[in-house]
Amino acid sequence: MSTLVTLGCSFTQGQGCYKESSLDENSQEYYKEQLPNFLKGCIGSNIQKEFGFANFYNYARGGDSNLNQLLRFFNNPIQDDDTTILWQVTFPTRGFAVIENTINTLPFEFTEKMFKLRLKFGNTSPEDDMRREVALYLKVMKEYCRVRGWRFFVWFWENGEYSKYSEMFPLLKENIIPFNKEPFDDDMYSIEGHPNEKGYKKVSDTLIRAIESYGLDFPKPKEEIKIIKAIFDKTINF
Amino acid sequence: MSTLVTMGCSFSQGDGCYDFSLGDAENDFINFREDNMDNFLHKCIGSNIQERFGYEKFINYAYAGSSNESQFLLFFNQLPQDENVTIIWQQTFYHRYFQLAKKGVMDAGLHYEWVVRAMQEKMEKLNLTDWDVEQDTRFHTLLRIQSLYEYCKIRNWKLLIWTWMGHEYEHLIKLFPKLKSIIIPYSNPFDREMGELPNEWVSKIPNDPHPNEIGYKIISDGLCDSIVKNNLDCPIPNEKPINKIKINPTFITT
Repeated sequence: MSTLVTLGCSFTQGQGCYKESSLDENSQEYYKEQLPNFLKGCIGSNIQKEFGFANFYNYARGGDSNLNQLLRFFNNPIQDDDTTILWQVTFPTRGFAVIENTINTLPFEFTEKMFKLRLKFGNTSPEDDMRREVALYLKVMKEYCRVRGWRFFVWFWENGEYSKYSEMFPLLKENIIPFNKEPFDDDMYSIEGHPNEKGYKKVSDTLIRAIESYGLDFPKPKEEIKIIKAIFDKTINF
Repeated sequence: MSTLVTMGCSFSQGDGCYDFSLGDAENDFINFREDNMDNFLHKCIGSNIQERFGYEKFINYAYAGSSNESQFLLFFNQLPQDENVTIIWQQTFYHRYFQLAKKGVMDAGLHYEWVVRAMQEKMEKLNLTDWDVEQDTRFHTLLRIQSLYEYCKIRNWKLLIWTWMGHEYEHLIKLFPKLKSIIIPYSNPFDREMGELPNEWVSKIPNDPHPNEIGYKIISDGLCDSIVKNNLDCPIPNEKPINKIKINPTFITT
């Protein structure tokens, strides 16, 4: 049985796919109520449908850093054999933090200060060094997938990033989906700025086109959909 | 063929095992230390464990000043090519952080302003105590251990960990009882000022906070005894030790 796993930040979580609700839009309850809608409208869900993966697990979480995603995955590893990992790399400036025993992202003000302090300590290209850090995390996952006989693909939310990573890290080139977002129409945004289900459908379609036009070895199992699940647990399991 | 891998900081690298005939320690310490690297490798904790348990090959990833995350990433960046691998990972101080700067690794610790400020700010903004922050750093480390553990499970490799900090075993077991199967119960007598220890156990360099070869042998014996006594899942292949290899801390990102 085939399994698709997606990793990423809010853009892969599906944040922005809101349905009408009687709850206050600024409340935590409203956000929680919308989570199943995020899962339904997210990019991974569209790819599951298009290529026919029986199972789909979405580890992505709003605000997550790349390291968060790596560690979150290993904190809740899956046992399926025939698995494809699709990792949306988010902004490399985001930092990882454990806060009160849960997996969290460093608040942005910390990240900004660390960035400035790195510059102060003579680092002339902090952005590139942050990309190198991300490449090391990707390498861990690539190796894990290799020994498990899984497939591993990476794509980038920010346009232009895939070519930078491909140039800087040739070993990752075979895993990188050459993908740039196409412009969104006005009706493809949610009220808070994330894409809505239409926007995510457009991103999914562009990704699928890139996978197909570059002849990537991305499975198309054409199986019946059985599981669609968000791995949303912040708690550390050991 | 069996392979032992050790990971850790200077204490696993073997810092402190000096052959004073190799140079001028007083006037040219940097080169003197560099020239002693092979001596470190042959007298370090991993080398002693290799000899006692009989691993054919020994690979040491540890380097001075390393953080736990750097060890994790270095390992995946330069993976051993062998099949029958046992990893012994010495956990170092939690306040050390991995960072890349100018294309190279420059581990950050309390000597970095951003590390100190980030800890202070975390306490202030989130209303946490230093104990809370310390606990969080344990979880940080745990997540890396867990990732390596999952990888080893798939490869059918063995993973054991131990901590340099004397009382950490109790803290970690209390927080994560499942660690018990991979953590070596060992209370390190060297987790203190070296001046409090017998002179013959510690480095002869003034103010050097490291044991010497006698000290490392005491630690190695303690670790091996604990592994055997607690019946931990650690192979004792009894093969002839042949190779000792030091991994340079170069991160290959191409």
